[in-house]
Amino acid sequence: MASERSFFTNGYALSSPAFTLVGLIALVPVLQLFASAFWSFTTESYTLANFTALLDSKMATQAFWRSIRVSLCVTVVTVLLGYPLAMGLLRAGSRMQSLLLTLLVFPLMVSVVVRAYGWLVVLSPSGVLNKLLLNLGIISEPLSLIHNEAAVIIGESQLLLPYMVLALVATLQKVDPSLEEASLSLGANPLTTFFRVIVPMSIPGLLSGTLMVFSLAITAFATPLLLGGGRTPMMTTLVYSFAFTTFEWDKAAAVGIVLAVLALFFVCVQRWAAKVGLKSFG
Amino acid sequence: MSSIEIQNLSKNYGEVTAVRDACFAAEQGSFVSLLGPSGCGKTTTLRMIAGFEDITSGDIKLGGKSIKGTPPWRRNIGVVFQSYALFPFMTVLQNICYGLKMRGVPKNEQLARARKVMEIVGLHEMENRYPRQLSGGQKQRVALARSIVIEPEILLLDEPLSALDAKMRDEMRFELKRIQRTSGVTTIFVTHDQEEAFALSDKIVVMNKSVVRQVGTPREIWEEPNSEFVAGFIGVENLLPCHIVAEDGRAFGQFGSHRLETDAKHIGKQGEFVLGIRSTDLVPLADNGQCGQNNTICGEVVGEVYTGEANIYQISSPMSDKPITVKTRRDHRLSGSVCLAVDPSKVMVLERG
Amino acid sequence: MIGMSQANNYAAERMMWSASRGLLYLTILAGYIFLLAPIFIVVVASFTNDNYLLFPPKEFSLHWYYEVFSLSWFRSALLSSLVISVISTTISAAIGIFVARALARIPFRGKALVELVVLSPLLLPSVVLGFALFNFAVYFAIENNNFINLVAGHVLITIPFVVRSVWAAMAGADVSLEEASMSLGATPAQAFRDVVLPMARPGIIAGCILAFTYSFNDVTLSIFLAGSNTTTLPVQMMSHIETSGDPSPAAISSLMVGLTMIFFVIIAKTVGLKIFTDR
Ligand SMILES: Nc1ncnc2c1ncn2[C@@H]1O[C@H](COP(=O)(O)OP(=O)(O)OP(=O)(O)O)[C@@H](O)[C@H]1O
Ligand SMILES: [Mg+2]
Repeated sequence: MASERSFFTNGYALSSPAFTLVGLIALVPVLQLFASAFWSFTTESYTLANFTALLDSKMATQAFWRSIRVSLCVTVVTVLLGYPLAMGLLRAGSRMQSLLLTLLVFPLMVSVVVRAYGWLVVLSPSGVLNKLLLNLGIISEPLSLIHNEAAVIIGESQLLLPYMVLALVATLQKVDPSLEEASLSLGANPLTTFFRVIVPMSIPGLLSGTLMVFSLAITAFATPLLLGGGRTPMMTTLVYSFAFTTFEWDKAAAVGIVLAVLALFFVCVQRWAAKVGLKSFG
Repeated sequence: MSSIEIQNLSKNYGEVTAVRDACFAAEQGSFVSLLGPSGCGKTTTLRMIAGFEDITSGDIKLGGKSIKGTPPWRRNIGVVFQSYALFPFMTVLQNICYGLKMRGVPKNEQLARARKVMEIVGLHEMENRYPRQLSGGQKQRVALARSIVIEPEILLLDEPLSALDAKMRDEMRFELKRIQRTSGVTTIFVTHDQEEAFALSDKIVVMNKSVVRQVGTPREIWEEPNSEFVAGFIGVENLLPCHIVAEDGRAFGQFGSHRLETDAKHIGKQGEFVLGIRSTDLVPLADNGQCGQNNTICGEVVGEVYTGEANIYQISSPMSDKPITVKTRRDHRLSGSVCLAVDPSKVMVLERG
Repeated sequence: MIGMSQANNYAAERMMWSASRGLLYLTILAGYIFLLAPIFIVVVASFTNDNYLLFPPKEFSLHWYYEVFSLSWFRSALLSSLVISVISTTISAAIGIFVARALARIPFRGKALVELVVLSPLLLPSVVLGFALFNFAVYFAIENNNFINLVAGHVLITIPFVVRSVWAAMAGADVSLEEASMSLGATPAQAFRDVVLPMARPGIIAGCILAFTYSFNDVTLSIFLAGSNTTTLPVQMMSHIETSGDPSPAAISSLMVGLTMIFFVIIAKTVGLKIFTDR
């Protein structure tokens, strides 16, 4: 654009309000958190003490492995349910497709607290499921279905399933449908066709969906807090209880840093995979 | 409206040169076309004139004054975009009045001027329609009206007809010419369609690979293309590399042992050139015995296409690696060995490349 | 004979495949029930008359809706949630639109850095951001200014939604519209007002709604910033769920689902569901 600089054509001027604001009130606090995770109040010096204290704490190491375990299970559940839903969405006629898509993405906008509460209503000892089973005479005592890892896995899977389906659909809808027809015409039955043609073609979506679901699962907070209860701390809920129950802020900072590093690692892998995926899959 | 002069205009995008050293001018009220194949720098030239791109070097003078540092919104240049770029959320009238509003023209004058222009471009009773409710040709008229209502110094059009279907395109071509004559606005028109350029222009600027190759009236370009590229682009079928020799006050193109006479005015030229001959200027002789005399090309028919209107033959000849193309009337058929005569005044001498 | 038995074989095989197709449909149905049932059950159960939740309720009534609106904690938390979300969405929109324009249209050095920083609140876990902000507030001894802290935090987490949505809308608009307006005499500021903003309008609306919804629903960040002075509805609701078993959270949940539905329809009508599918 010829001369006469204007605010509206200047990238720096346009970006500076948001950049400054986010830089000042998000990144500076995070850097400060980083510093405080490595700071010891007792020796007044930078150390790894806060992190080694975590390694020594049984609760912290358990929470770490529980977070990993739960997130892996959530990823597996969403993959297993994700493929049928993605295939259904792709195969449906256009009206059915938009209905299915609506029902898939609407839950994404519903509050996480509401959705976790929904699972409490379903699964709690006085909840819908136990009442139903009691009335049917299948059980005589209410089952304890909440405040355990399984409840967290169920809640988070419901939270994150749409992301997995969308990632799979994004890749699969680019696949030429005649590939599938070709495979069928060459004598492969539908199941073989699914595993030999559809699954390989969906790898980029599977990869990005897996990375996204895993990193969202490991950073989920309200669901583990409500459905896991106090006996199943995970990394995120541990940050909260260190901060507000035991007031061990240096430990909260250390757990937070571990969590942030993990999450950013997955973001980087996801971006890298998207770039590589784009290249190798045209 | 004003005249415009483009002086040694260049544009680089980093390593890429989009336009190099372009020079041409458009007289007040004239219609000038920028003609060339895709990627030759036509749009870039136009965008520099409009002020959307900075100039790397050179100058643009509008009415004698340089507009190099003037931003687009102070240039008073009308632009018609290939996509029309009508504001979709404004009605036809609002679109047309927009430029007047920006100039602070009072409301009632805006209306009067808009209506007058709508009359000129032939838009009736469309004032309150939105662009999505218009056909391609109507959108085109709105885009034209919007850019001429501001009474621009100069009007720029970038392939404005290419988004229309063939029939509409022919109609709008006449309309465009009529509207330009009526409004008298100096116009620069970008196209890669040579027929369009010839039909509309007072002057044609032929570009190739970021360089202006020839500037001239349609007649000059048609009859005296200056280079192999220009001749090829306007459809001269036979381009025969040779070198020019002079003998007895006559000029010849020499092909090994064969030679073809050209117009004597080329006598000053020496060295490597290309002879250009239109397929219709080659006359098959009834008697093959005249081969080698009277400025002839001899060869064998190797291909034939019947187009309804004419017969097109491919002739292999020692004078050229590529077959020579001849067009005859449909009742005139050729086969076997043929001998083609050509009038020296119809043999063009062209720069290579 | 051979032809007969072969035909029978095919019939058997076809039956097997249509059975397995039926299985696929069942799985899909189960998946959707899994996704929607908890939401549906809460909404239906909220119309109970009793002091506990029952699905389906014995009789339908608005008892718990009257009840929650008579709760002062609910009214004040709802009000502060609305005020915080409106203010933070407005601020995010105001600064997000500009940075979206820079990212969508203007080439400049350091663009990737600007993108990274502006979207970073979504890349960082909310728990970490929440505790970092709390820690920061404590450092300056302003941790009790809950309202300001909540607004600041919510601006951070809503900016990415506005930016991504407006960015997509601006990048999708025809550049020549803006050039056309400038050739007609509009300065960059006028072109921005007259052309760029109207063209980006659906993206702005959708971005603001997504931002508002995310802010209104947020609990992870808010729980670190809320306090005795100001708190938000989801935070209050969460502590109520933990401490009491009455059905009032169900009524609040249904109200939130209803609000979400309205917003969802607006988004579907303005930019369509592709805002969820393109990422
Ligand atoms: N913004 C840009 N950055 C880099 N190169 C560019 C840019 N714009 C144009 N070019 C290059 O400059 C050359 C000329 O482009 P231009 O658009 O002027 O061609 P054109 O003659 O209008 O072609 P067409 O008939 O296809 O529209 C092309 O090689 C193009 O790739
Ligand atoms: Mg062009």
